[in-house]
Amino acid sequence: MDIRAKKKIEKIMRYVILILATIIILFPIYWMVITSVKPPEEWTPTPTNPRLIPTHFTLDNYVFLFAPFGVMETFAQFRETIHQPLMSSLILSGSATVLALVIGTCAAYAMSRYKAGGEFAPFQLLMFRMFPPIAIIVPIMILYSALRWLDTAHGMIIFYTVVNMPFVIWLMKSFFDDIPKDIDEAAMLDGCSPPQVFFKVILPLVKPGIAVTALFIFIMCWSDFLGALVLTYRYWLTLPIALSKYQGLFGYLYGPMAATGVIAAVPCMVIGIVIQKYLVRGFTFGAVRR
Amino acid sequence: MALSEGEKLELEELTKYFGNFCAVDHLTLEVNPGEFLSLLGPSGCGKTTTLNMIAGLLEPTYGRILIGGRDVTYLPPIERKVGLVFQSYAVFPHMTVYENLAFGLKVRKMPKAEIDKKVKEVASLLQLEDVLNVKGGKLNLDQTQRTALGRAMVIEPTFFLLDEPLSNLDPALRAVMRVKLKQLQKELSQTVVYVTHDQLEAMSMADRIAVMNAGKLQQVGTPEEVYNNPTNKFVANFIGSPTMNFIDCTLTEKDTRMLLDAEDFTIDVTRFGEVLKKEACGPEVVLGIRPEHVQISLERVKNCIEGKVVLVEPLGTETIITCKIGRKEIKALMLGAYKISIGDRLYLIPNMDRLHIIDKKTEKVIV
Repeated sequence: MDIRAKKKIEKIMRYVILILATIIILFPIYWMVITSVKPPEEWTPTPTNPRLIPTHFTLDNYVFLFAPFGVMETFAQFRETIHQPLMSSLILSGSATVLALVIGTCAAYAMSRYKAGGEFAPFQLLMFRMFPPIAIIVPIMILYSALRWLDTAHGMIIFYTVVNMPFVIWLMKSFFDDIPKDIDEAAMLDGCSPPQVFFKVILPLVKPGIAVTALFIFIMCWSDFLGALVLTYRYWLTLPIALSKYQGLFGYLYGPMAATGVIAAVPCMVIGIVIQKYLVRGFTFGAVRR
Repeated sequence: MALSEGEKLELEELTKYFGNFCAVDHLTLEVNPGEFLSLLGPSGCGKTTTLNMIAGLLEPTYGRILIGGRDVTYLPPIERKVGLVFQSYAVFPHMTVYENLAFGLKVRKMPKAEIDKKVKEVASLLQLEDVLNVKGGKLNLDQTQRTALGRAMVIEPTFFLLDEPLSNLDPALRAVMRVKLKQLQKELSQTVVYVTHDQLEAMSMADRIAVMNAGKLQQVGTPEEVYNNPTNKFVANFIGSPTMNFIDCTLTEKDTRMLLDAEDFTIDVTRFGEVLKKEACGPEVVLGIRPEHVQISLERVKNCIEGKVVLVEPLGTETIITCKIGRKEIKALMLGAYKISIGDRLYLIPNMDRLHIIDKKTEKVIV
């Protein structure tokens, strides 16, 4: 076999592997999307009929999530809508992301430029996050119950802000570290005060970093289960908790679960698309050569 | 373009410690108005630290900085009116060239029309008009450098502080920029403190050179002075390319003659006898001679040293010939191309007027 044929086969093999990997990754998502538009009879595949393609398209699953009356009466015992969990998730995750970013970015800049908190502060903060959440969630619950913060918006926002802060600091610090100190000094020579240096020069430079961090933190808050399970019970239940309620004594409601999954994926995808420019552009700060 | 009148810059006993490490050690230096002074030294010798202290980015541990007789040691950068060009240029990548140039003026709250006028002036001087609307991150090296220079110029500083501004450029562009910078400086008769580790840059551009090593000022003088009359071994070694030949010798007296004994050869230095007797700490000295001050001959002549060629480096207009004399090596720099091959015998004639004798203990140049 000559080298050219060999190279061609290699190339084909590479694509075959990549396509297989893509299918393995995308199939569960595909399954979730099609299940969300299938009627109850088609939720479970059988050996004779894998039901890879829905035959009867329906939006009942979605209707059921928001108004569980009139559709799928068999499952009438689940008379809970997802309005409230969806809203709580949006409010809590959104606020916590913004708050963690604002505080964390300032802290990261102070650590990067002024070594605030000492050499090991960023690592110590990250260590704090290495604690298994299950080990601290009960003490936090006791604390929250004493403070009467259980099932409150501010309680949950503070909880998410605090647990995600180490990531914000860690990520943002690496972006700040990538900007040479010369840039700060040049701005200072031009007459900027330290806050002006930060807001006018450095912050615009780390926009891509902020975008990436925001997405990451939002996903962390959005998909939290344990915290919401223990610290909320009624008014501030979040989507992951709502999702878990569709499986229980009476079996699994695969359709509504899949529909909830699709709805839960939407905000993350929207943010992803909005900041795609930054994600793709990457983090090259071209003008400074080292 | 009107730049502010030159003022004298004085550094008095300037010292900077980082923890226990002394980066700059009692540096006293004067820079005259309109002068191009080069701070020359190897990496880590404290030249950038010195520059940052002058700019106001670092506070000295002790010592004073005076600009036009005014003590500015503890003033913030904006009140010193210095323009600094960083080694990395530090052009803001997210701003256009125009915004980069205007930034300092905007921070100073200058009226818009005036900013516009000044920016355009500097842009035309540095031929940046075509790229005024290009983002800093999209410029090529040469444009980035000019933008950095322009940003320093636009605030009309009393001095320019340049921190190795050419070290990122390729050799051809560097040679061009050297000339351009020098011309620009003379045109504007601007005071410049120029930090570099490249002795060629310092020699070719500076009015005066301040050689630094390990935080200490070694010598200040015109390029000719530091080249011809180095005060110590460090300066002698640092200035000049190829570097000076150093040969360990013992000073001996025979009858009325003074001899430098290098084991493999001796040189008669009777003519320096008096100075040597007065200045030398002991018989241990180092003979220093620049390769360009060593002649070669194919025949034996008076006062020559016999050697064997071990390396020939033809550089086109010049040839560097390395000879071995016993265990010691001496380089000679000859004009033109030479047909000499390795292993050839030849005779080296040191130029006795350009000889340096250095005290081995103190490393001071005696002759």
